[in-house]
Parts: sequence; structure tokens; C-alpha cells
Amino acid sequence: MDHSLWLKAVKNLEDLTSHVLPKVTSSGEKAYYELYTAYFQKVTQAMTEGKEIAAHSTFVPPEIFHAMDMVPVLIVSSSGAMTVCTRNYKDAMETSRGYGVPLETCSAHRIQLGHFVKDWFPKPKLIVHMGAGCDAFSSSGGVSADLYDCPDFYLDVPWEYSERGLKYLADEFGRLIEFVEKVTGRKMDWNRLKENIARTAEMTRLYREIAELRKAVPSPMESRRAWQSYWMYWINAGTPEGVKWFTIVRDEVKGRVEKGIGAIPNEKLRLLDLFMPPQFSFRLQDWMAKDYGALFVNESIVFQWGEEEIDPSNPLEALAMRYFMAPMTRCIMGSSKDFINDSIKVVREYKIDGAVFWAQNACRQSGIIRSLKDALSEQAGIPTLVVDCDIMDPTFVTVEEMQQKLKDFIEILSERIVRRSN
Amino acid sequence: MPVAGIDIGSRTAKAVIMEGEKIISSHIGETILKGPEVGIAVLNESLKLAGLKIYDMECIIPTGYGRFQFTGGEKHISEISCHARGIHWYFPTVRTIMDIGGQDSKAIKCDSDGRLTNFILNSKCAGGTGRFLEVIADILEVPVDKLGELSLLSRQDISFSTVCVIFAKTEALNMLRDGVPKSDIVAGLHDSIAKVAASMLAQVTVEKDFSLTGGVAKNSGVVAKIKEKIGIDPLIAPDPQLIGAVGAALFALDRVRRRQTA
Amino acid sequence: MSQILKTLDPFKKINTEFPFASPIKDWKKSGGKVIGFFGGDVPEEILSAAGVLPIWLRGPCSEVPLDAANAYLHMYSCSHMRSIFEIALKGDYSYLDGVMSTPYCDGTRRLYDVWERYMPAPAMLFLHTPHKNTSEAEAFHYQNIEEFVESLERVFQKKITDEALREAIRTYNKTRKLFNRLFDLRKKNNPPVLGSEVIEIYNASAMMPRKDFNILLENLINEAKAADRMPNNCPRLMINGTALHNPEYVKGIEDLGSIVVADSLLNGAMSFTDLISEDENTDPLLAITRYYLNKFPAPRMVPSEARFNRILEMAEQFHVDGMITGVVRYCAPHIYDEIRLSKRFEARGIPSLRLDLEYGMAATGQIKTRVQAFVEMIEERKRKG
Repeated sequence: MDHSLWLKAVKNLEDLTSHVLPKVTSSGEKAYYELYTAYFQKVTQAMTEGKEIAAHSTFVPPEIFHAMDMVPVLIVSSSGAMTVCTRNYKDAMETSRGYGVPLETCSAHRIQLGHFVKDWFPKPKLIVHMGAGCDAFSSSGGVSADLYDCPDFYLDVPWEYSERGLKYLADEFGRLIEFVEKVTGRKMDWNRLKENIARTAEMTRLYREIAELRKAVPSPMESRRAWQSYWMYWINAGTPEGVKWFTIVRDEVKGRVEKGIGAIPNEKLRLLDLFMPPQFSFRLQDWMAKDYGALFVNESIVFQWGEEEIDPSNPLEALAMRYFMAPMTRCIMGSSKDFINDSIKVVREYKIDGAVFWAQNACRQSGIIRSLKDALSEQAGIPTLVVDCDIMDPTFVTVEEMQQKLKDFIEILSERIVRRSN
Repeated sequence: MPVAGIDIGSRTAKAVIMEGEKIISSHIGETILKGPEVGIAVLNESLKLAGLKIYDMECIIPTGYGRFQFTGGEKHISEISCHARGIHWYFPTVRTIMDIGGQDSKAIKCDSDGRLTNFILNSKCAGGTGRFLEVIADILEVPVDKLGELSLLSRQDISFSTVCVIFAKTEALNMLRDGVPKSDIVAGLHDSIAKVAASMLAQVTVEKDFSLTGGVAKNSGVVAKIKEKIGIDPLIAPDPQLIGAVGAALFALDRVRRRQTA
Repeated sequence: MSQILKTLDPFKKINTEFPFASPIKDWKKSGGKVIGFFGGDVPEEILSAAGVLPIWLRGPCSEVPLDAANAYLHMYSCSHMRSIFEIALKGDYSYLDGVMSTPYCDGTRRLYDVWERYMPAPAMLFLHTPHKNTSEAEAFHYQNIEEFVESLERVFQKKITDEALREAIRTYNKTRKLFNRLFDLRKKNNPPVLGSEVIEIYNASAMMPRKDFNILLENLINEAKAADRMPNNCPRLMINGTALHNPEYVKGIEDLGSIVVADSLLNGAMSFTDLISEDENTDPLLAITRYYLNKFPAPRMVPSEARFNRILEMAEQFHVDGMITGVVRYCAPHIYDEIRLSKRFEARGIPSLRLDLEYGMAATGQIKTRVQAFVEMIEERKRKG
């Protein structure tokens, strides 16, 4: 494999971190740079020391690999991060196109496959992918496994939460463990797995606590922190680093609520983020907050947990329960009713003025837009803006084009607020 | 026993008359006429040049976009096979061909006999085709055949963020307004066409030797950019626009020969 | 083809009556209920055992404007799903007593959501199928199916007996057995039936009671068997992709000098090759469960190798010279499936071609150029030996 891109990306990330850290005042932002960099450094270390790496898609529990003393690395988000850090968007996307991946599919997966075609991705001992999220998500793992010619396991996920679905998914996790044991010759350390899941339960508790705290006016948390939390949850699930992250963020947010201060000095508009914004930059969110006092105070797909608790004493069921309760899996899988009802509830509880749906290029979750928009308008009384964009390709729709749309929407919302208060 | 190959493209039509593997005449005409007439018109012109009549033709084969409408041929053959065949006749060592036509472009692979082994066509949009050049040339008020020369004067790298003709048009207009020299805009444009070509070539993998065909191959700016991207000097036939018609004429010769041996 | 198949006419006639074909009208007139479904994995045998006529919903056999559907489903929903909904929004599916789907893909589940929200049919039914055929998946799916049977019984106030299930299995198996006979004819050197004609047959199968369909298909096989249609040596193609309904698309491919002898379409070989066990000692619901988990796998099923091997095996049995995959824009399952499958075909020396399509499209313009070059390439390869 070709380590050069990975090493360059991690180096860039380290440089960025050391450049940014002294300037950052928020403890959450600081922790993000440190922990995010550490995650990739750990993979680099595994690569150079020859430790066994388990490549897995998002929602596959890393707790399992940690308990078996393997180094997990997330597939789509890590390749995406490497591309963001080296700005090799075009090269990665052109490469996958050259391999036969058409443009009519999600750029995050096109970039992922570019990394596998070029051998840039760390060579894993095995690949574990999952039927969660979307079709592109559940189909691209097979192509990666083809390209790296390494053993792969597909975790089958039930359509929606039910008692029998929970049992089925728990059994699937059991099969996954058998698979890893067979491929690597390692044995599952069940006590360690329970410890890991206990930390996951703690992370989940803190995550939910932060969600509660975010109901405060003014909002105590930056929107970028929400997305960071979400990725941090999945890359560091079951680890001390994960607990550390959520503790720091909770403390910062709690401190602000107690003092009655907001994440931004001049909060004017409280927005609901309905779908994944472009992941290559948070510039848009920063600009909205800075120039207009418009802040996303909740993100339905990463900040709405289901209600059931996670019980570490039964590890496999705990992992299954976490899957069903976790925000993104919860609203993207199953009927769209959960997503819609959650969002209506959020608008009321978080005192939201307007919502933004990011219509990602080629993303078939966009089938939900009309229903969400109508439901939010009829049942929650707020308008929704649909912004066409691309999750990882900065050239598909430029930041400037998105800004124009958002600007108009912010104006409309501001007028509504003025009218309402008159 | 003369034969004819006619390539009816979306922007131009070409006819070639051959006899015993020798080109005796050829003609390129604009596709102002619609349907089968344009094929007949270019054929007549080349017949006139050769001093021949249509009934002298032992076999006529049409190719290109308008081949289905042309009724005077024995059989129609895709322009992809014709390009492979035509280039192989000029350069038997070529295994990879990039054809950039008026409305579409193709990356083609062939074997040592000039037979098609793999190919891809660009998608519906005109990005990376001759049409793309025409639209921008029009905005810049530069004749299409002067674009190549002009681009060689470029002093700075400009990159278009899109290959979509409609968006690129706006982008070019903005650059013009911002005072970007035309030579730089044209060079940037050539660069994006070369990028599309390189991406298509990557999809079939480039194998030596490599040839560039189609009207755009006459543009030295694009040729230089493609060379830069794939690292191979392209072989270019005397008239790269005629390759499809030459290939069709060669297929016509095959048919005549098969008839004679049968 | 020197001779036309007269027995194809009844199929064609029904297809021209789409979307409310006369057999459906007759069924409704006699008081029967009709359920329209989309997506694979719908156990039609159970619907049939409930006394319901299952209809496989589709869009028209042409590329039509989707203005009405676009207002409900964003353009990144595939045109296949939007075409179905376009017809529904125009009211042409208003005769349905129920609509059913499965989470076959993101397209089917989002179409179902929108249908349920904006124009619910009297009965809205949804059934989950796992992506695996392990023993756990079987136990899980058996319970899903049991639950589904109960909800169907509630909706239609009718007990679904084992006897009725066995009878439905026999009828649906009869269709599959007949199709296997038809497929066998297509393996021959001079297939007596064209690929475009087979699409007509598939289409009719989705719009009429199976017992009646079986009679028509048997007639066709008898005529085709005895028919002396022109033998030819042109390239033999297999078509792959999602459900495909426009016979003109296949005709366009065949008109360029090829014959389509096999397919791995969801509405074709994928649904009509394997049989459900008719063993009297097996619980019919278990037989149905097993069938839907083990039949010719769709791209959604894992491990994918089972599907790839199945298709490669077919290519061998049908002496396939080339494979054409039609991928409807944004159809992620088939986009990734095609990438993997085409590499495996090429490794066996069988060329493959991907066509990017919109649902309902015929073979026109650039598609023709691609197909013709592909056919010429195969001819050259064959000549070379």
C-alpha cells in the first residue's frame, strides 16, 4: 500500500492542530483537535508497528475491535478526512470514476473508493460493513473489500426497532465476533467488552444531557460541536477518549447555561438542521452565526436520541439497543415517521424559528424532504429551506451559492420574527 | 473498385473515397442540412473531386450520429469501431485513441489488428467536447481555429470550476469582466477539456501508442494539455477529423474483398 | 425472425391496457380486491392466498415527464419510483385496495412513506426482509411473515389457511416452471423468442391473475417450441439491472444485430427461476420464508458472491457473449452491483457495457452508438475466435 497520502494527511492535521490550538478559547474546540488528531495518529502507529487494523463502516461498534485488541478505523469518514486534510478531492473522485463509479452516487463513497483504488487507505486485516444508513453506504463496503481482497463481514440490520429486531441484531454482533475470531485467531475478551460498553453508556448519557442543555436560550453550543460530537461518538465509542470528549463538551455547555451565556454573542435566529450539511467545511455555519446571529440549535439526525437505556451487563443486546436509539440510524432507517415526529418535537422544545434541509447530490434520503417540510409547516409552524449541495465535493455547489440561498432565507425568517413580535 | 465512407457527425459531415487502400478524395461539410441529405452532399463533393459518380462506388458505409438516417449504405457501423479502424490504418502501433468530436467524446482501445476492445463515451453533457470550445470561443470573439495559438501565450494557470457548458460560459464571462487575458481563459478551457479526456482515458487505461482524433485534435493547445496530463506524446493523423470516415471506407473495402473471395 | 408468434398477442394486448388492464377490471367487477406492490421480496403467494390479486406496479413504457411526482419525491429518488408515483398521482392507480412495499432499497421505502402520507390506499402494508439467509435470518423473517399474515387477515377479514397457501404456491410455482421451459428454449442456438418479446411476457405477468397467465404462457411455449424462426449467429447478450419494462429498450439493442437470450432482471429471471418447496410436510409459511431468503439474490442480499456466481453461471448456460447493464440514475444498489459484476464478467472474458438510463427509456441516440459499438466489438472477438 501507499502510505504517503495518509502520512501527509496526518501531518497536515498535526500542523493545523498546533497552529489552531493556541488561538482557540473553547475547551470543546481544543478537545476536538486533540482527540481527532489522536485517532488518526493511533492508526498511523498501528500501520508502522504492524498492529492489526479493522476497517469498518460507521455504526459498526468499534467497542468490539477494542476488546479484541485491534485498531479500528472508520472507512468512509477516514478517507473523507484524509481528502479534506490534503485537499485531493479531484484526484480521489476522478480515480473512483476511472474505476467505474458513476457520478450519480454520493461523493463521500466516491472518495472512499478512490482511496481504495489508489491503495491509500490503511491495509486492514478485515473489513466490516453494514446495511445501515443508505444503499450507497451498505453497497460500497463490498467494492472496498473487492479492491483490497481482504475478508469482509456484512452486518445485517433490521428495518426498525422491535424486540425481535433487537435480538436479531444482537445475534449479528455475535456472528461478527465469531468472524473476527476466525480471521484473526484472537479471542473476545468479554470483560473488556463490558467495560467498553459501560463507557459507551456513559458517553450516551452525557450526549443526552448535552441535548437537554441545548434547549436553553441563548443556545450554549456551536453547531459544529454537534457534528464533532457525532463523529467523536462513533470513532471513540467505548474508549476513555470518548468519555473525555463528552465530559469536556458537557462541562463547557453546562457552564454557559449556568451563566446564561450563549455560544454566540448575539443570537437572533434559532435553526433546526435537518440533514447532513457539507462535511468538507463548517465555514457556512460559522458565517451564519457571525454575520446573522443564526445558529443551528439542534440537528435532528445527530442530536435526537431514542428513549431506551443501554444496559452494559448484556453486551450484545446493549450494542443492538444503542444502534436503534442512536440519532442517525434512528431517523434514516425505518419509516420516516420517527424522523418527522422527532423534528416536530424538537421545534417545540428548542424554540426553533426555521429549518434547513441539505439536499445532498445523489442522496436518496431526499425522498423525505416534502413530507418533512409539510409536517414542519403544518404541525410546527416553521418554514424549511432546501439547500442543494454536495457532501464532499466543494465544486458541485459552491459555498457562495449556498450562502446566497441561506441569506434570503435568513431575511425571510427575520421578517417573520419582527411580524410576530409586533 | 472505389468505395466510400461517410461520417455524419452532429457538427460536421465527412466523406472519404478510397480505392485499394488509398484515399483518392475527401470532403468535410457543415451539417447545416438535416437528415440524410447532408451525407449525400459531402459524398457528392468528394465524388466530384475524384471525378467519379455514385454508381462507381462498389460499397458505401455510413457512420456517426446520422448513420441511421442515411439510406444509401450497405450497412451502418458505429463511429467507435470506425475510429479504431481508421487510426490503425494510419498508425498500426496505436492501442489507445481519444476522439473529441463536436458533441461527444470517446476513449477507445483496440488490438494489434485495429479491432475494438474497449471504449467509453462521455455522458450527455457537452463538457469536454468541441461544442464546449465553440461556445467559449464565441464569447471571447476568437475564431475556433485560433484558440490553440492563443492559448500558448498564456502566462498564468486558470482553472474552471466546472465542465458544464452553461456554468463555464458564465465563468468565462466573469473572468473577461475581471480583466483576465483571453489567452489565460482559453488555456484554462483547454485544461478542463484535457481533464475530461484524461479522466476518460483513465477509465480504459492508456496503452501506447496513443492517438488523438476528432476536430479538437487540430487544436495545439488541447493537444499540449493532454500530453501534459497523460505523459504520452499523441500521434495525430494528417486530418484527424476524417478518421471516422476513413474507418468506414476501410470497412467498405473489407466487404468488397469478402465478396470477391466468396 | 421470419415468423411472428401469434400467442404473444394476448400479452401485448394486456400491456397496451396498462395501468388498468382488462383482467384487473374483470377481477374488480367480480368483487375482488387488488393490492399493488413495488420492490422485490413481496410474497405474492400470501396475498393470493388471502384472495387478493397482487399487481406489480410500474411506470409507463416510455420516458415521461414526472412533474407531479417531482413535487413529492426529490429528483434524486430514481425515475423508476417517481414514474410509479406519477401514475398514482394522476389517479390511474386509484382502483387499488391496498399498496404494499418492502425496504428493498431507499427508493421503495421513501416512495412508500410518501404514498402513505399523501394518498393512502385503504390498506397500506409493509414487510421487512433481512439481507441474509442465515438460520437467525430465517427465524426472524418467519416471524415477520407470520405478523404480516395476521395483519392481512385483519385487513381483509379473511383467514389465510394452509390449504390456500399451498394452492397459491402451486400456482405461482407453475408460472416459474413454465418460465424455466421458456428459458431453456432461449439457451438454444436459435432462440425462438426475442428478448423484447420476453419483456412483454414479464409485463403481463404483473397485471393479471396467475392462473390465467399460466394458460397464456403455456400456449406461447407450445407455439415457440414448434416455431421455425430464423436461426442466427449474432452476438448473444444478457441484460442486467433493476426491473425493466420497456420492450423497446430491448428491441433497440436487438435491432443493432444482437439477440438478448437471458436476463438477471428483478421482474424477470430473478423472480421466475427458483421454486418454492411444495413438500406437504413443510409448513407453507416456512417454505415461503425460505424461498424469499434463498431465491436468485438481488443486489441487496449478502454475501454478494452468491448473486455474482449465479449470474456468471447463467451466462455460461445461455452461451452469453456479452452483458449489458442498464443503470437507472441514482440507483445505488445497481451502481455498486454493476461495478463488481462487470469486473467478474471481464475476468471471464465476457465483455460488459453499462448504460446510464432514466426509467422507461428506449434505446435511442448515444445509447444506440454504445450498443452498436459493443455488438461490433463482440462480433470482432468472435471472428477472431
